[in-house]
Order: sequence, then C-alpha cells, then structure tokens
Amino acid sequence: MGLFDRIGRIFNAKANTVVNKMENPTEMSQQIIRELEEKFKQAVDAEAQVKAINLKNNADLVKAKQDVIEWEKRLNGILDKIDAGDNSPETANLSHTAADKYNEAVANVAKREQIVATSNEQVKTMEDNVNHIKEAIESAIDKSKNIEARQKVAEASETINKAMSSTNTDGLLGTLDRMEEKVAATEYRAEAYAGSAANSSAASKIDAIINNTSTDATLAAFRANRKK
Amino acid sequence: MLLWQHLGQIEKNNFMNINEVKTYKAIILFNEMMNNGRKFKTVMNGDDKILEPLFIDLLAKNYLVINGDSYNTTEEGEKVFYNFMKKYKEYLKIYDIYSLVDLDKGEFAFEKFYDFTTDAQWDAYKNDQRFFDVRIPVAKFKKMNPSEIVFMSFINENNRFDTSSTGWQFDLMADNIWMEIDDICRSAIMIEDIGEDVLKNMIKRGTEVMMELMKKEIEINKQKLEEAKKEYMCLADDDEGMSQTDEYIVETTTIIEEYEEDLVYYDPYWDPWYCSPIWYVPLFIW
Repeated sequence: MGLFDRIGRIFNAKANTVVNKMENPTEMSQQIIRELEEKFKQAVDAEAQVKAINLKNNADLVKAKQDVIEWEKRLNGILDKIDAGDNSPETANLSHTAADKYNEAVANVAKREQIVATSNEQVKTMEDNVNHIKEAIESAIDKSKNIEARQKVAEASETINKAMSSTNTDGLLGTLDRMEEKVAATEYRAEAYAGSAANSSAASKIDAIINNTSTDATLAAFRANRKK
Repeated sequence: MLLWQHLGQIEKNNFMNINEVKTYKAIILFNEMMNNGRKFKTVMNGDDKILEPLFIDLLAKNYLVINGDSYNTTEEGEKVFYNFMKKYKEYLKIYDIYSLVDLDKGEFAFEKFYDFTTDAQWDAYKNDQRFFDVRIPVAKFKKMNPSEIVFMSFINENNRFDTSSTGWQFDLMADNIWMEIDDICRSAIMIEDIGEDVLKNMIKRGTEVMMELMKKEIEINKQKLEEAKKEYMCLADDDEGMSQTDEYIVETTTIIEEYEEDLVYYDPYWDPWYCSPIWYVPLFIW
C-alpha cells in the first residue's frame, strides 16, 4: 500500500487526527469493511441489472416455448382438416403458413435457449463475484473483531506498563533500603545498649565480690563469673 | 421422487393439472406480496431463490415485472388476486358451512354457531364424529373446481401455507401439499354417495343456514351499534373516548352495511344450482 493511499484511507477513517494517531488499527479495519461494503453494494446493484436481463430472457424463453406449442396445435388442426378431405387451396396455404410459423417458433426457442445459456453464465459470474466480496467482508469483519480485541488488550497492557514505568520505583526502593538500614542501625544500637548493660552488670558483680570478705564466697563468685 | 415426476402424477388424475398447481402457488406468492407487503428480490434472495421458476412464469405472462432488484405485481396480476379474494370471501360465506354436516339428521354444525360462548365449546361441538365434510360434492354439484375449494380450506384452516415458517418456499415448490389436496379431492364423499336429491335439499338448507347466520351477524352488530351510540352520548367531555367510540360506530355501521349488501348479493343462492360466475373464470391464464 502506498503512503498516499494509506493517508487517504486514514483521512476517510478520521479526518482530524494526526498521522500517528490515525493508524488506529480498529478504525482502519472498520474503514476497510465500509469500503468493502460499498463495493458489495455496487456489485449487488450490477448483479440485479444482469439478473433482471436474465429473468427477462428466461421469461422470453417460456413465451417462445408456448408459441411452439400453440403453432403445433394450429398445424395439427389444419392437418386434421386436410386428412379429413379438405383439399382447398386456402387450407393448403394455411397449412404452409402454420408450418412456417412453427419452424420460426422452434428456431426462436433455439435462439432464446442460447441467449439464456449465455445470460445464465453471466449471472453465475456475477454471483461468484458478489459471493467473493461477501466472503471478504465476513473475513474482514472477523479480522476486525480480532484486531479490536487485540488492540484493547494491547492498550490495556500498555497503560499498565506505562503506569509501572512512570512510577519512580528505584526511589521507592531506595527509601525502603534506607528505612531498612535505619531499622538495622537502631537494632545495632539496641544490641550495643544491651551489651553495655550486660558489662555493667558484670562489673557490679565483681565489685560485690571484691567487697565480700569471705574467700570462699569470692572464689565461688569468680568461678561463676568465669563460666559465663 | 423428483418434482416433475410428482407433477406428472398430478397431471394424470382428473382433479388437478400442472396449471392449477401453478395457479395456487402463485396465489400464495401474490398474497405474500399484496396482503403481507413482502418484497421478493431478484438477487441476494436466500431461500426465496427456489421460487424463481414460478417468478419467471409470472413474468412471462406479465403478471409480474421487475423493478430494480424486486418483483412487482402488474395491474393484471392485481386483478387476478382481487378475483381470488372475491372467491375466497364467497367460500368463507357459503361453502365453509358444508364442512360440518350431519348427513343422517340433515343438520349443519354452523346452525348452532352462536349458541356457544367460548371457542373451546364450539370446537368440542364441531368435532363430533357425526359431522361430515361435504364441500367437495357441493362444489361438484355446482360445477365448481373441487381443488379450488380444498386449496381455500387449506388457507383458512390450520395455516397450511405458513409463510412465516422456515423453508416455506421449499414446501410451496415441492409437491407434497398439492398431492395432499389431490388425495382429498379423490377420496372425498361423492355426489353418488349422497344422492343428487339429498344433496339438492342439503344445499337448500345450507343456503337457509347461511342467510340465518348473516342475519344473526347483522342483529349482533346492530346491538353493538346501539350500545356504542348510548356510550357515545355519555362521553360528553371525554374527547379521546368520543373519538374512539365514533370510530367504532363507523366500523360497526360498515360491517352491518356489508352484511346487508351480502344478503342481496347471495340471494341468487336460494337456487341450489346457482353459483356466482366468478367461480368459472380462471384466475391465471398460463
């Protein structure tokens, strides 16, 4: 498809949108369907014209066959008269006229049959073309539905992904990291405070032992402190 | 069996020929076009395509023309259908009452038509086995075409030509229904089974019943008219109500006038041999 053709189609689909936006797949496919439907309508109109001629040809053939039957009856009537002994020149003349007319009618049927056969072929071709367009429209409608569904899914995914990408996740995670570090620091400090508290407790125990006058008690206290 | 083989069979017996079958098919199409407003298309016509041979025959005889992508009736075609409708109206007025006759007692089920208040009661009464269908011997007695009477009964009863059902076009062009009509014509009670004198008396009585029914119909409608007129007088300030009642009065008056005209129109039927000339005029000339 040439650029100008594409642009033309896009302008038909939505005249006042910018070129990038104009390539909306759903709008494009719907425009294609509209164009196919327009072609279909034109083809059906053309088929109707050909069909009208075909039907008229068929009707003429029916009339022509009726003429043969009627001239056959007339000819047989005259021949019956002749067989019954009517030898007048008028009757003989009439019999010739009837025979000629019968032949003409038979020839006319043959001609009409030929016309009908050709006409039937033309109608068949037109029908095939119309059916081809009809199938193309059905296929385009299916494809269009598919495109529309896929476009919706793609647009939804795009929206989600865009939302995800536009959010500063690194910053958020960095904050979380900082928060984590902060918590860790607090924990370390807490532990450190806990450790100094434990040391302070051991010193007071030693002091108590030092101040204790009993040797045994002092040793027991030292031993107990050494085991920890 | 193929269509032409069946039509061949129809042609062989004495009741229906190919042209009669074609006529009845065409009547159904014309009814669809003129009474139901259906447009038959020449192209993109789906199930209607099967009707094409019939359309071609009607085009050949100038009963139809093509206008754009549709078939249209000609003045000649409309005249044919109008004649058929006239016949059909007569059928409903005169011949339908012979569908339920008690041959032993000489009674017509329609004598008691106005004695029942519901359709169910009427149906129960008329389904009594003692009633016989003598429309065909009556038609033959009056030198009418029996198949035409059966065809009309098929239109009137049980919606045998239901053009709203899927595939009706096939049913119309296939021959089952025409074979059925033919079978009915062949297997019906004959004049000889009843006897000409009995049949003659029965037709006289049938005419009396028909006239009584029409008079009863006039009487009922006159009562309705009187009531409507009284109601109209009471609706002094109700414009809408007055307009509706006024409409009803006009309609009922028209019905009464039609029945009164019918009493005159059907007067010749007191003669048991009488039959309106419309029954002897062929509908389509094929």
